[in-house]
Amino acid sequence: MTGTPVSNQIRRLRFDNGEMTQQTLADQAGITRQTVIALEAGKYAPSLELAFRLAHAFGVGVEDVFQWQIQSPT
Amino acid sequence: MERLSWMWMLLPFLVGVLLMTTTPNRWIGADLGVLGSSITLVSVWIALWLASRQREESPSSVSLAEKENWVALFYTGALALFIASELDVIAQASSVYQLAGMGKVIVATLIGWIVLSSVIRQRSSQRVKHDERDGELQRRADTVSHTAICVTVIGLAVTLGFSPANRLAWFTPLLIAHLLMLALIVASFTGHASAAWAYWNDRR
Repeated sequence: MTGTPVSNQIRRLRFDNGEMTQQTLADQAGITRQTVIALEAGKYAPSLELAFRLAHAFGVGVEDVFQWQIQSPT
Repeated sequence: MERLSWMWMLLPFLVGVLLMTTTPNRWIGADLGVLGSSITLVSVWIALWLASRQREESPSSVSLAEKENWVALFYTGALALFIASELDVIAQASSVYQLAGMGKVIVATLIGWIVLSSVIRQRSSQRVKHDERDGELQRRADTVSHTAICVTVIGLAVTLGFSPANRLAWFTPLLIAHLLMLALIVASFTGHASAAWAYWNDRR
Protein backbone atom coordinates (compact mmCIF):
# COMPACT_ATOMS: atom_id res chain seq x y z
CA MET A 1 0.00 0.00 0.00
CA THR A 2 1.12 3.58 -0.54
CA GLY A 3 1.97 6.08 2.20
CA THR A 4 -0.93 7.48 4.20
CA PRO A 5 -1.66 10.96 5.62
CA VAL A 6 -1.88 9.32 9.06
CA SER A 7 1.38 9.24 10.99
CA ASN A 8 1.87 7.35 14.23
CA GLN A 9 4.04 7.00 17.30
CA ILE A 10 3.88 3.21 17.53
CA ARG A 11 7.61 2.62 17.41
CA ARG A 12 8.29 5.22 20.16
CA LEU A 13 5.43 3.93 22.30
CA ARG A 14 6.73 0.37 22.01
CA PHE A 15 10.10 1.43 23.37
CA ASP A 16 8.47 3.56 26.06
CA ASN A 17 6.54 0.47 27.14
CA GLY A 18 9.54 -1.62 28.16
CA GLU A 19 10.77 -2.20 24.62
CA MET A 20 7.66 -4.12 23.71
CA THR A 21 8.29 -6.35 20.68
CA GLN A 22 6.32 -6.03 17.48
CA GLN A 23 4.97 -9.54 18.05
CA THR A 24 3.72 -8.70 21.55
CA LEU A 25 1.92 -5.63 20.25
CA ALA A 26 0.50 -7.63 17.34
CA ASP A 27 -0.82 -10.29 19.72
CA GLN A 28 -2.40 -7.68 21.99
CA ALA A 29 -4.08 -5.90 19.08
CA GLY A 30 -5.12 -9.07 17.26
CA ILE A 31 -3.11 -8.42 14.10
CA THR A 32 -0.05 -9.90 12.42
CA ARG A 33 3.48 -8.65 13.07
CA GLN A 34 3.74 -7.71 9.40
CA THR A 35 0.84 -5.28 9.88
CA VAL A 36 2.69 -3.67 12.80
CA ILE A 37 5.70 -3.30 10.49
CA ALA A 38 3.52 -1.71 7.77
CA LEU A 39 1.97 0.64 10.35
CA GLU A 40 5.34 1.73 11.71
CA ALA A 41 6.58 2.34 8.18
CA GLY A 42 3.57 4.57 7.53
CA LYS A 43 2.37 2.32 4.72
CA TYR A 44 -0.96 1.37 6.21
CA ALA A 45 -3.70 3.45 7.84
CA PRO A 46 -5.65 1.28 10.30
CA SER A 47 -9.40 1.12 10.72
CA LEU A 48 -10.89 3.08 13.60
CA GLU A 49 -11.38 -0.13 15.58
CA LEU A 50 -7.75 -1.19 15.15
CA ALA A 51 -6.59 2.31 16.08
CA PHE A 52 -8.51 2.00 19.36
CA ARG A 53 -7.13 -1.49 19.99
CA LEU A 54 -3.55 -0.28 19.48
CA ALA A 55 -4.11 2.72 21.74
CA HIS A 56 -5.64 0.39 24.36
CA ALA A 57 -2.56 -1.87 24.15
CA PHE A 58 -0.40 1.14 25.12
CA GLY A 59 -2.92 2.48 27.64
CA VAL A 60 -3.16 5.86 25.92
CA GLY A 61 -5.68 7.73 23.78
CA VAL A 62 -5.98 7.30 20.04
CA GLU A 63 -4.61 10.79 19.36
CA ASP A 64 -1.49 9.94 21.36
CA VAL A 65 -0.81 7.15 18.86
CA PHE A 66 -2.09 8.52 15.55
CA GLN A 67 -1.87 11.98 14.04
CA TRP A 68 -3.52 13.17 10.87
CA GLN A 69 -1.08 15.08 8.68
CA ILE A 70 -3.39 17.81 7.45
CA GLN A 71 -2.60 18.57 3.83
CA SER A 72 -3.40 22.09 2.69
CA PRO A 73 -5.42 22.23 -0.55
CA THR A 74 -3.34 23.31 -3.53
CA MET B 1 21.96 -12.65 0.42
CA GLU B 2 20.53 -15.22 2.84
CA ARG B 3 17.07 -13.73 2.55
CA LEU B 4 17.12 -14.33 -1.21
CA SER B 5 18.21 -17.98 -0.92
CA TRP B 6 14.69 -19.11 -1.84
CA MET B 7 15.25 -17.69 -5.34
CA TRP B 8 17.48 -20.69 -6.13
CA MET B 9 14.25 -22.65 -6.37
CA LEU B 10 13.15 -20.61 -9.40
CA LEU B 11 15.29 -22.85 -11.63
CA PRO B 12 13.68 -26.20 -10.66
CA PHE B 13 10.28 -24.44 -10.67
CA LEU B 14 10.84 -23.34 -14.27
CA VAL B 15 12.08 -26.82 -15.20
CA GLY B 16 8.85 -28.23 -13.74
CA VAL B 17 6.74 -25.74 -15.70
CA LEU B 18 8.71 -26.56 -18.88
CA LEU B 19 8.08 -30.27 -18.36
CA MET B 20 4.38 -29.53 -17.96
CA THR B 21 4.12 -27.30 -20.99
CA THR B 22 6.69 -27.90 -23.72
CA THR B 23 7.72 -31.55 -23.69
CA PRO B 24 5.83 -34.56 -25.08
CA ASN B 25 3.38 -36.11 -22.61
CA ARG B 26 5.36 -39.33 -22.21
CA TRP B 27 9.06 -40.14 -22.28
CA ILE B 28 10.44 -43.64 -21.60
CA GLY B 29 7.14 -44.55 -19.98
CA ALA B 30 7.15 -41.61 -17.56
CA ASP B 31 4.29 -39.08 -17.51
CA LEU B 32 6.28 -35.84 -17.89
CA GLY B 33 3.28 -33.65 -17.11
CA VAL B 34 2.75 -35.21 -13.69
CA LEU B 35 6.54 -35.23 -13.12
CA GLY B 36 6.68 -31.50 -13.94
CA SER B 37 3.75 -30.83 -11.65
CA SER B 38 5.54 -32.70 -8.83
CA ILE B 39 8.76 -30.75 -9.39
CA THR B 40 6.90 -27.43 -9.17
CA LEU B 41 5.25 -28.60 -5.92
CA VAL B 42 8.59 -29.59 -4.34
CA SER B 43 10.39 -26.43 -5.52
CA VAL B 44 7.65 -24.14 -4.16
CA TRP B 45 7.75 -26.07 -0.88
CA ILE B 46 11.54 -25.74 -0.54
CA ALA B 47 11.39 -22.02 -1.50
CA LEU B 48 8.85 -21.40 1.26
CA TRP B 49 10.93 -23.39 3.73
CA LEU B 50 14.04 -21.33 2.86
CA ALA B 51 12.05 -18.09 3.15
CA SER B 52 10.70 -19.15 6.58
CA ARG B 53 14.26 -19.72 7.93
CA GLN B 54 14.83 -15.98 8.13
CA ARG B 55 15.11 -14.50 11.57
CA GLU B 56 11.68 -13.99 13.10
CA GLU B 57 12.35 -10.32 13.83
CA SER B 58 13.53 -9.62 10.30
CA PRO B 59 11.31 -7.01 8.66
CA SER B 60 11.38 -9.08 5.50
CA SER B 61 9.76 -12.14 7.09
CA VAL B 62 6.57 -13.15 5.36
CA SER B 63 3.11 -13.47 6.90
CA LEU B 64 0.90 -16.52 6.41
CA ALA B 65 -1.51 -14.66 4.12
CA GLU B 66 1.40 -13.52 1.95
CA LYS B 67 2.81 -17.05 1.77
CA GLU B 68 -0.59 -18.37 0.68
CA ASN B 69 -0.77 -15.61 -1.90
CA TRP B 70 2.67 -16.52 -3.32
CA VAL B 71 1.67 -20.18 -3.57
CA ALA B 72 -1.57 -19.21 -5.36
CA LEU B 73 0.42 -16.92 -7.69
CA PHE B 74 2.86 -19.69 -8.63
CA TYR B 75 0.12 -22.27 -9.17
CA THR B 76 -2.24 -20.06 -11.17
CA GLY B 77 0.75 -18.97 -13.28
CA ALA B 78 1.80 -22.59 -13.89
CA LEU B 79 -1.79 -23.61 -14.75
CA ALA B 80 -2.24 -20.67 -17.13
CA LEU B 81 1.04 -21.47 -18.90
CA PHE B 82 0.12 -25.14 -19.11
CA ILE B 83 -3.35 -24.56 -20.60
CA ALA B 84 -2.03 -21.90 -23.00
CA SER B 85 0.64 -24.34 -24.22
CA GLU B 86 -2.01 -27.01 -24.89
CA LEU B 87 -4.42 -24.84 -26.92
CA ASP B 88 -3.43 -26.45 -30.24
CA VAL B 89 -4.01 -29.92 -28.77
CA ILE B 90 -7.41 -28.82 -27.42
CA ALA B 91 -8.38 -27.31 -30.80
CA GLN B 92 -7.74 -30.65 -32.51
CA ALA B 93 -9.60 -32.77 -29.93
CA SER B 94 -13.08 -33.92 -30.87
CA SER B 95 -14.09 -35.00 -27.38
CA VAL B 96 -13.07 -34.19 -23.85
CA TYR B 97 -11.90 -37.80 -23.34
CA GLN B 98 -8.98 -37.13 -25.70
CA LEU B 99 -7.72 -34.59 -23.17
CA ALA B 100 -7.43 -37.06 -20.28
CA GLY B 101 -3.62 -36.60 -20.05
CA MET B 102 -4.03 -32.85 -19.73
CA GLY B 103 -6.75 -33.33 -17.13
CA LYS B 104 -4.40 -35.49 -15.04
CA VAL B 105 -1.76 -32.74 -14.96
CA ILE B 106 -4.34 -30.12 -13.98
CA VAL B 107 -5.74 -32.33 -11.21
CA ALA B 108 -2.21 -33.15 -9.94
CA THR B 109 -1.39 -29.43 -9.89
CA LEU B 110 -4.61 -28.54 -8.04
CA ILE B 111 -4.03 -31.31 -5.47
CA GLY B 112 -0.45 -30.06 -5.00
CA TRP B 113 -1.78 -26.54 -4.44
CA ILE B 114 -4.38 -27.65 -1.88
CA VAL B 115 -1.90 -29.89 -0.01
CA LEU B 116 0.81 -27.22 0.08
CA SER B 117 -1.62 -24.51 1.25
CA SER B 118 -3.03 -26.68 4.04
CA VAL B 119 0.47 -27.75 5.19
CA ILE B 120 1.63 -24.12 5.29
CA ARG B 121 -1.46 -23.15 7.28
CA GLN B 122 -1.02 -25.99 9.78
CA ARG B 123 2.70 -25.34 10.27
CA SER B 124 2.23 -21.62 10.78
CA SER B 125 2.93 -20.47 14.33
CA GLN B 126 1.15 -17.15 13.78
CA ARG B 127 -1.59 -16.62 16.34
CA VAL B 128 -3.52 -14.35 13.98
CA LYS B 129 -3.84 -15.94 10.54
CA HIS B 130 -5.50 -13.02 8.71
CA ASP B 131 -6.11 -9.46 9.83
CA GLU B 132 -7.74 -6.35 8.40
CA ARG B 133 -4.75 -5.42 6.23
CA ASP B 134 -4.88 -8.84 4.58
CA GLY B 135 -8.60 -8.29 4.02
CA GLU B 136 -8.01 -4.89 2.45
CA LEU B 137 -5.24 -6.20 0.19
CA GLN B 138 -7.55 -9.07 -0.80
CA ARG B 139 -10.35 -6.64 -1.69
CA ARG B 140 -7.97 -4.64 -3.88
CA ALA B 141 -6.75 -7.85 -5.52
CA ASP B 142 -10.37 -8.86 -6.18
CA THR B 143 -10.98 -5.54 -7.94
CA VAL B 144 -7.90 -6.08 -10.14
CA SER B 145 -9.02 -9.66 -10.80
CA HIS B 146 -12.52 -8.48 -11.75
CA THR B 147 -11.07 -5.97 -14.21
CA ALA B 148 -8.81 -8.67 -15.68
CA ILE B 149 -11.70 -11.10 -16.23
CA CYS B 150 -13.72 -8.35 -17.95
CA VAL B 151 -10.81 -7.50 -20.23
CA THR B 152 -10.02 -11.11 -21.15
CA VAL B 153 -13.64 -12.13 -21.79
CA ILE B 154 -14.33 -8.99 -23.86
CA GLY B 155 -11.04 -9.65 -25.72
CA LEU B 156 -12.18 -13.21 -26.46
CA ALA B 157 -15.63 -12.03 -27.59
CA VAL B 158 -14.14 -9.39 -29.88
CA THR B 159 -11.66 -11.92 -31.31
CA LEU B 160 -14.49 -14.35 -32.03
CA GLY B 161 -16.67 -11.61 -33.48
CA PHE B 162 -14.05 -10.22 -35.85
CA SER B 163 -12.27 -13.42 -36.89
CA PRO B 164 -12.79 -14.45 -40.53
CA ALA B 165 -14.84 -17.61 -41.07
CA ASN B 166 -11.83 -19.78 -41.96
CA ARG B 167 -10.10 -18.84 -38.69
CA LEU B 168 -13.24 -19.54 -36.65
CA ALA B 169 -12.91 -23.25 -37.51
CA TRP B 170 -10.05 -23.32 -34.97
CA PHE B 171 -12.41 -22.12 -32.20
CA THR B 172 -14.19 -25.39 -31.43
CA PRO B 173 -16.71 -25.40 -28.52
CA LEU B 174 -14.16 -27.38 -26.49
CA LEU B 175 -11.50 -24.77 -27.18
CA ILE B 176 -13.81 -21.88 -26.27
CA ALA B 177 -14.66 -23.66 -23.00
CA HIS B 178 -10.94 -23.94 -22.21
CA LEU B 179 -10.30 -20.34 -23.25
CA LEU B 180 -12.97 -19.22 -20.78
CA MET B 181 -11.33 -21.34 -18.06
CA LEU B 182 -7.98 -19.82 -19.03
CA ALA B 183 -9.51 -16.33 -18.73
CA LEU B 184 -10.62 -17.18 -15.18
CA ILE B 185 -7.18 -18.48 -14.24
CA VAL B 186 -5.41 -15.47 -15.79
CA ALA B 187 -7.75 -13.14 -13.87
CA SER B 188 -7.00 -14.99 -10.66
CA PHE B 189 -3.25 -14.82 -11.41
CA THR B 190 -3.50 -11.07 -12.02
CA GLY B 191 -5.27 -10.57 -8.68
CA HIS B 192 -2.64 -12.61 -6.83
CA ALA B 193 0.14 -10.71 -8.63
CA SER B 194 -1.33 -7.39 -7.52
CA ALA B 195 -1.60 -8.62 -3.91
CA ALA B 196 1.99 -9.95 -4.06
CA TRP B 197 3.16 -6.54 -5.27
CA ALA B 198 1.29 -4.79 -2.43
CA TYR B 199 2.71 -7.17 0.23
CA TRP B 200 6.22 -6.77 -1.16
CA ASN B 201 5.84 -2.99 -1.29
CA ASP B 202 4.71 -2.93 2.36
CA ARG B 203 7.86 -4.80 3.42
CA ARG B 204 10.31 -2.54 1.52
